[in-house]
Amino acid sequence: MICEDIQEELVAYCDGELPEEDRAQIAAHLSNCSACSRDVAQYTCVSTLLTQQIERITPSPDFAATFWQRLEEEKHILPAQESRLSRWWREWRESLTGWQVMPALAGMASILVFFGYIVSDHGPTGGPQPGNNPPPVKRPPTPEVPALVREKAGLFVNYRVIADLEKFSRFDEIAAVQLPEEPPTSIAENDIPRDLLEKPGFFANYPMLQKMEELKNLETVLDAPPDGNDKSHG
Amino acid sequence: MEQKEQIAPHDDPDVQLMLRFQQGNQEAFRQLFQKYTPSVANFAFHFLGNRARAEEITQEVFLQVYRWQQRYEPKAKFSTWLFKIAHNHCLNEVRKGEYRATVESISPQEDSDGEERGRELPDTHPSKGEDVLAAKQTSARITKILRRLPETQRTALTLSRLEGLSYQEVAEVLGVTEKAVKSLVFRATQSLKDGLKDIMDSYDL
Repeated sequence: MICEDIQEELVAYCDGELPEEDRAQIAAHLSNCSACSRDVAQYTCVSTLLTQQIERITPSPDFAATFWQRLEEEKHILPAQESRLSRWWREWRESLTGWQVMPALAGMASILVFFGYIVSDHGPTGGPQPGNNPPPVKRPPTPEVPALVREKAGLFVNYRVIADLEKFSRFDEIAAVQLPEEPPTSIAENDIPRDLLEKPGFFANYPMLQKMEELKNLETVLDAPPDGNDKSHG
Repeated sequence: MEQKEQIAPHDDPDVQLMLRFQQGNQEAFRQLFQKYTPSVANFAFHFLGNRARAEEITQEVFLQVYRWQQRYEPKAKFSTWLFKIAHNHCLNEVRKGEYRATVESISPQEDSDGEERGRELPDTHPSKGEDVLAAKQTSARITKILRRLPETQRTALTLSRLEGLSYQEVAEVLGVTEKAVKSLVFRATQSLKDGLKDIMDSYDL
């Protein structure tokens, strides 16, 4: 063991901070090395001087009284008046050390600017970009409003859909109207296709229904191996 | 050289006090305040070198403990958590820029030209008065050497030697690795050894 290599270990050895194996190695070295033993004695002496001679302060006599007074003042402010948001903000601020505050605020400002940019008209999809003008987006021409509509805005009420909506607001009234009874529609058994009678799942073979069935079982369809693979494995 | 033993957070009686305080026991907080006020004040004093600011910081640290009672989780010894808060406050204080590190000297150990007079000692047969004077001079020299150390070395050394934290606990406070703490403590001790060489020689070490 070379003395230079273990210099840093010696203080940790004095402090009892080395793992058992390293400690045993150092102890073995010290029993044969007077120079390192002298260093250990000096480090121990320095530590003793430090702990015994270093200047220590005793808090001033009014220290505790001042503290409890400050605490009482805080107690009145803290839970009663502080909203949850302001409490979170204060605790977050207090958890940061001085050098962390500026980057954290800069980060928050960047996020706000970014969202402002996205939400505003100057977001990535809209607005002119300086120095890089994309071709103007072609939009379908706004249909010309018929002169009649311009003159009589209430005309839209006559449109079929709006009229239907209007009916909903008068539902009770309409429901009360007795309509002439329509003749019951009867389907002769002969009119039903034979296939449907024998196989009720017949409609599943229709392309559209089949597609819907596939969509319903989309995951199963996706997981299923392609036909080609089946063949290759088969 | 005995090996330091690590205790689990829940075995730390101060963690238990803090948990009781978390459940609303104000007396538990009072006990923690009384127990740790001197340690935190001295830690801040050795960090800042100013008694008044150290006391102010100590009050702020305990106010923060009070405010953060619900956020406390017993992941480490209570003292580790407390000194971490104290360290952050001291760092903020230093980095505010308003503060200028001035070392308060408790005794006039320096001549008018700033030279230390401690080098005349030690006497081989000192009287009691001389003993006291020598101790004060040594104390002032240690304080001066500490003030010259880089901040992290000084903090690692004071936490380890004066507050009795293990390297692992110091590493948690400083947010560095245990290996880094070993190196910091070594370099700080080496600087002290070099600075107090005459005393070492006088002890025939």
